[in-house]
Amino acid sequence: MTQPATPKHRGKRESLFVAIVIVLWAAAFGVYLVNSPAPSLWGLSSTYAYSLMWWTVTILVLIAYAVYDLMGG
Amino acid sequence: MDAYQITTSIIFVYCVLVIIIGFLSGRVLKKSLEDFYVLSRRAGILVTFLATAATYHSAFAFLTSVATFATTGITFWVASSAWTTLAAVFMYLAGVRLMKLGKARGHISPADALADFYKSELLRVLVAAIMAIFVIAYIVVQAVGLGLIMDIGSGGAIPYAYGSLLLMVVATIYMILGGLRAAYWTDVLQGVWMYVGVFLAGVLILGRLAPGGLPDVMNQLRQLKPGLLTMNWDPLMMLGTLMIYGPGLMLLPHLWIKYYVAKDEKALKASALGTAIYLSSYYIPAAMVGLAAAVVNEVGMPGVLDKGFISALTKQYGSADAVMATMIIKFTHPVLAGFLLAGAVSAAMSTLDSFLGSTSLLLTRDIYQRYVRPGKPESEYVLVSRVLMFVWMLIGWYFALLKPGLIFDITSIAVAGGLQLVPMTLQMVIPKAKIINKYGAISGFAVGSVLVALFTAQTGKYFGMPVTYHAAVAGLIGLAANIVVTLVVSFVTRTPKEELEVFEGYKSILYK
Repeated sequence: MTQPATPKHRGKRESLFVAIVIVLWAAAFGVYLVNSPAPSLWGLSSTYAYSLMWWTVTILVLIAYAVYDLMGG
Repeated sequence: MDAYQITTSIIFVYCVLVIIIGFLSGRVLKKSLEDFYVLSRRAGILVTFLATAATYHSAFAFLTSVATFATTGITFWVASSAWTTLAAVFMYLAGVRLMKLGKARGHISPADALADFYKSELLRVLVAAIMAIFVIAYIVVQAVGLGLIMDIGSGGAIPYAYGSLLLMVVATIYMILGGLRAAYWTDVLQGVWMYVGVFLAGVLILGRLAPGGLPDVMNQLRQLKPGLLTMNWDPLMMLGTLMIYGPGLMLLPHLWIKYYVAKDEKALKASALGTAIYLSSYYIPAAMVGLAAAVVNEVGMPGVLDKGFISALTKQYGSADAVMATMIIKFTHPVLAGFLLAGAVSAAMSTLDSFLGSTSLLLTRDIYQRYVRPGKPESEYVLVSRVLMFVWMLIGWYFALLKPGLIFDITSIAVAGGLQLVPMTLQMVIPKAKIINKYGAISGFAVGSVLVALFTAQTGKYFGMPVTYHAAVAGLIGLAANIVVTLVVSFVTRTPKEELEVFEGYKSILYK
């Protein structure tokens, strides 16, 4: 059975998550480095392909953190 | 029965359904504001999730996203995938704290919470009044969307103005019957309907126009208009939209009160995760339709749509927002078109109802109950809430008749206003050290809100201001000034003892 996290532990976990969020959303701006209509993954433009990959990674990170958090950390 | 009658009839069936749900929810309604607005704080994951997701996505998502994909290309996906997920993260982190504080201190509105934390009745009135004004822009865009859907869905038999009024009255009726409880119940139906609807529309329309799928559309656009395949907003605009549609939108009253609905932390966190997936993935089929529309717009389709049809729609309706409804009508069977357009109506109504409810809550709870007729039975306040819903609906409809422009641009004004709540709210949900006091909060919020109005094209032009190119940028300017003023004023003024005591109370709720 999982034990509820202490406020201190929860605070550290949240701080780590906030740091990850900042890095992830900064990476969203990386789209300007590959901003081209040229075909890339699956024939999509490189801009769209980058953005789709960013979104997939972000959703997976959010799922992973939420599962970890809701299970009690 | 012709195609338009079939389509319109299905939309009417949908309207009857939501009115029945409103009636049924009204029958279990207790005559208290807490039950009328926040379901007595007992909603589980499904209701909290769908109520939040369906409320977040409005006519904006169903109509203007497709219009923006068709005119500015995948730029909209790049920005919207980032802002929708950021909104969900904000809900996960800040929403849970607001929920805990709301439960412990009895808040049911943003003005309630902020006035309690800063011990300021002036702040209560200011937040209630400014938010009630900003959200008019949001109500207007739902009215615009509903008018477009009805006009196009009925083949012009029910013109824009009457269609808008008719559907707004339907939403107001079920809200009057069941309060926000009705909105939560209908949100469940609407949230599923609009999601299924947009995916069906995306797959069917793309399948018909480009059997090779999205790569096929991209290849065609690469030849016709390659600029639609790149990011066309500058980083400042991207940052602005991230901020206003992320935390800015999540702090508007209609979404803020969703945090108070959840029965516990787990329900709200799980809902936030579901919201991230729902909100962002919604724009994948919207991109399919929008980019397919861009191709048709460039080459035309004999007998179906003329080359340059988007310009013609813009001329007729005052914006490109009619693209989605037109694509549905032109490329799907009338029965399916009715189902899909009812999905579009769901998207608009699910937000409209929450706005009507939350605005009437702000005005009733934070102004009428406190300053006009305090100490009266709760049933009187519920009645006043219902009257205010009707009044706000009429105001929204009136402005929609003026055909104010692209839904995306109008919505941005409201959410840029919501962004101005960020500094004072962050202090409330992170009560580690007292940095912002009531004087700073009031001054910063007032300065930020005024700057948003002055630097936004739609409102600033009346004051002869040098307006920014988009409300998203005006929102950032307002936020920057807001933060500076908030911190400086808080630094040079003395925090009252009473406010410091409350601060300690908040600290113990969140950290002990």
